[in-house]
Order: sequence, then structure tokens, then C-alpha cells
Amino acid sequence: MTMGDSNKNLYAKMIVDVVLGPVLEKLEKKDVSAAQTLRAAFTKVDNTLPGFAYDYVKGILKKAEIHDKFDLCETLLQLGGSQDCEELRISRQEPTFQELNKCATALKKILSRIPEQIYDRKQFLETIKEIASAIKRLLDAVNRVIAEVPAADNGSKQILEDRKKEFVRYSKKFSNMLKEFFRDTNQNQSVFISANYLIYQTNLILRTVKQECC
Amino acid sequence: MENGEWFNMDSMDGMRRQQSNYEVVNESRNSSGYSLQSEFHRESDHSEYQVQFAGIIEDIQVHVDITNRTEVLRMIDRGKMEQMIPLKVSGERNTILSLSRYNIKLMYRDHSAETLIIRVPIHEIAAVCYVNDDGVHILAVKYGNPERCSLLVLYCDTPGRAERICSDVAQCFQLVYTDAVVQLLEDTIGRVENSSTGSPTINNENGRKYSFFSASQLSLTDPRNASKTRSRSVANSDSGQSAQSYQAELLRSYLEQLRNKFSVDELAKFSTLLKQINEFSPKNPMDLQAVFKEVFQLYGNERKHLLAGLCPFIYEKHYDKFLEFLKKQGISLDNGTLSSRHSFPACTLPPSVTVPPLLMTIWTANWSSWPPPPLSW
Repeated sequence: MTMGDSNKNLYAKMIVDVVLGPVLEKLEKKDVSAAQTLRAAFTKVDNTLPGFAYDYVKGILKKAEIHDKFDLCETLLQLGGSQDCEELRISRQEPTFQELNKCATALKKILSRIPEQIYDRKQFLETIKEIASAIKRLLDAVNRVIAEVPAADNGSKQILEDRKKEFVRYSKKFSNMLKEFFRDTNQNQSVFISANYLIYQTNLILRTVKQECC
Repeated sequence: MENGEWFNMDSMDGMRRQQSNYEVVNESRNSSGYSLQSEFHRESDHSEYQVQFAGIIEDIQVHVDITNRTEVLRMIDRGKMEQMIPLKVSGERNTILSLSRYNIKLMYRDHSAETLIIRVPIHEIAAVCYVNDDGVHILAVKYGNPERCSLLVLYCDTPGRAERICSDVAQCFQLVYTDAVVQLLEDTIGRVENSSTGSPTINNENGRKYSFFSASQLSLTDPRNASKTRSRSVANSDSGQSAQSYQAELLRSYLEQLRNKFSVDELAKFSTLLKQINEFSPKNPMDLQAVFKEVFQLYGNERKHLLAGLCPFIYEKHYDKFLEFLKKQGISLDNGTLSSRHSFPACTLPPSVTVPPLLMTIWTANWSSWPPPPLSW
């Protein structure tokens, strides 16, 4: 399958969140300075050269001669629900923010199950229902966070609203991909990609809330 | 072939794959019997099967479980005694069962002429079962609505054909259900898109019984109900999520919460009290307080946290008093399902619009029915 630029950028960002992030977190326990330097370097390079993280990891996989042993899109999706790093966790202890953490983790976990369930129609349909519920809970939680933002801080409110709108846009894309898949079950890869986008958008919401509210 | 093969419209494990001259067999099924690539996917797709039409047995009890072989045969015997179906079917007329993702159609076909006997939409079918009664291959289709059920009785020449029909109907059920689930996702996204406030969270429906007619559909989920979900959501999207339809949706979500916590009688009382509050024009303001107190008593200590969720359905004229009352009872809106005071827009529906008592009656009478019937204002 030919990698479109947008998919490559998505994979690169997912790799930063679910592959490099957790690894650097572990490194932090041994050498904080090295970990932080590397984190800053990766972020800077990936911002300058979008897709760098993808090329980097692909290079490592090729070197290890395992690059063709698994599907990267599927794997990133599975990792997306199981890997959680400090960088994506909101530190504020108020119930509203902790609820957002919980809802985000729950949605990502359900989405990450798609690769193993997509071929079992009955199970997959149940998962889709769970996804619908989880999306609603997440956005309810986002609404509650937005409501907590002081009235004077319209800028932050707007940023969060925009982030929410973006998430809804990708949710609709995901729903459309599902329709396509049910018409043609060869479209599973499109479902994985759109689910990955949804996980990425979830992480963006968390980052944005951290940025605006913490 | 064993007697009494029961088709729960779920697993087709171990089922027959007999070729007949009439039908083409599709082998692309996964382990749970759900076809990955349905034969009935396109709108024009349909299959035809040669059957014999025995008759229709009316007024079947809604709760009858036609996975029970004895029950089915008992009904057929009753049908024969009451002459709803003949003791023997001659098979003179060429009867065709046509199946598509939308309906089952039974027709007599003579040369080029077709006479419709009956058409049953897929979403009205509760279950299909095949019974081998001493070599007679009976296909029974239970269909209808919550008020009235019937049993369509057909005979097949071979067990393979009967099983094939059951399997293909299951495929159609699956398509309807799949469509409904995707529609549910779309509707959810549509609702959250329009929601700028913390609306009540929809409960996860995973553990919910969808089956209305019998336990036989539990694993597949009643497509009749799934279809209703779809038609309801189509109606909502057509109205463009007006404030009225949005509040109707809020009410539906709230009622669903109550359904899990209240008894049927309590729900009926709730309906009456809500109506009283919103139609109230008290000469003495204390009378309104008395109604609030009754509502509070109805909810009780264990459920009083749900009172906060009632706010959107209280008319503007009484909204402030209701809030005051909640505060006095120590009920904080921030602990409710809604996030802040500003999430509680007072209900602005005209005074003539109330929770229809009929809605509450229908809804509370059908515990296991989902979704609740469409709101009509």
C-alpha cells in the first residue's frame, strides 16, 4: 500500500506518542537529562520534518529485519490503547479533569481492540456501540472542562471548542470508513487508519487541556 | 438431519451446506456464522426459494419463544384445529419465497403471473425456526409488533432448503442490525456535535436486552428495534436538531436513566408530577412547593442526585423556584449529570407541550423494549 503523506505524518505522530514517548519515560528514570534532551530533539525534528519519527522507526525496524513482519498501522492502533505516558495525562486532580483522563483512556482502549475484532462481525458491532458510548462520554467530559474555564478566558475556551470540533470531524470520518468497510470488507486498513486518527485526536485534546488549563 | 433445528439467528455453527438446484451457497462465513460478505448487500439483491404456503396463525402470544419445538408444534396444531392452516398442503400452486434485506415476500407464481400472498418487513420478523416433524420440514416465521403477533407457516421439500432460508434470513437480520449500529454511531456523533453543554451520558447498551418477542433473538438483537432506532434518527436528522427535538432527545436520555432506577409505578407517578409542575399556575406558591416535595419524596435519598438532571425539563416560569428547592435539599447541580448551572437551560417549550402520558404508559409497560418509542409532542 502506498503511504500517503498525511498517513505518514499521522504514523509519525502516533510513533512519538505510543512508541518513543513510553520509551523516553522509562529512560527518564535512569537519566532525566538524556531523556528530556532526546524528547525535545525528536519533537523539534518532527515539527521541522514531518514524518521524521516514522522514517526513524522504519529504519530501526529494517535494521532489525522485522519491518515486513507486521502491519505498522494495525500495531500503532493496538499500542494506542495500551500505552499511556505522563505527557498525555492531565495532572489536575479535580474530578472534572480526572474524568477526562478516564474517558480518553477508555476510548483509546476500545479503539485499540479493533484489529482483533474487526473480522468477527458480531463482536465488532458490539465494539462500535461501545465506541459510540465512549465518544459521547469523552465529549461530555470535554464540555465539563470547558465549562470550568473562567468566563474571562475566552481564548482558552475557543481553543478547546476548536479542538472538540476537530475531534468530531474525525469521528465522522471514522463512521464513514465503517460504512465503507461493511460494504467491502477489504477496506479494513481504512478503518485502522481512521481509528488511529481518532486516537491521535484524543491525545490532542489531552495536550490542549494540559496546555490551556494546567 | 435431526428433528427441531432451532435458528437463533445467531450462530450457524455446524450447519448444513446442502446445495440445491435452486439456490447458490455462499461459503464466506466467519466462525460466528456472520457472513463477511453478504449476498444481500446491494439493494437489488434478493433470493428466491420454492416453498409451500400452509397459512398464517393469528394472535400468537407476544412472549412465546419459538425456539421451543413443542410450542411451535402446539401452535401449528391449534392452527389446524381452528382451520387457519390446512391439515395437508396440496402443493399444487407454485409458491415462491423471495427474501431481500428489506422483506420476505410470499407469492404464487403461475407462468408469468405473480400473486402476492404476504409481505413481511425484516424488522417485523421476531424469529424464524425450522422444525422437522416426522419428515415434514416446517418453517415458521414469527412476526408482528408489540401488540400483535402472527406465525407464518411454510413447508419445504428438503431440510437443506429450510436451513438455507433460515441462514439467509439471519444474514438479512445482520445487515439491518449492522446498519442500525452504524447509524447509532452517526447519531451519537451528531448529537455531541450539537451539544455545547454537558448533556446526560448515554448508558452503555451492551448488557441490554434488545429482544422483544423472545429469548431467541437475544444474541442477534431484534432488528425491528434496531430499525426503529434508525427511523427515529432519520426523523431527527430531517428536523435539523431543532431546539425542540434536542430537548426531546435530552428527555429520552434522562428517562432512560430513570428506567434503570425506578419501578413502573414510580415512573407513572413521575410523569404525573412533572406534568403537574409544568402545567402549574398556582394561586398559592406553596402549592408548587408541595409538588416539588412530592417529587423529592418520590426520588428518595438514594436517588435524589438524579433530580439535578430534571432541570432542563422544568419550564422557565418555575425554573428558579425549582433550583431554590434543590439548593435547600442540598442537591448540588455540579454533582449531577450536567456540568454547571449554565448547562441547564430552562425548558422553553410552550405550555401546551408536556410529556405525553401515553409515552410514559407505553414506555413503562415495555421494560425490555429499546429504543423507547419516538417522542411525539
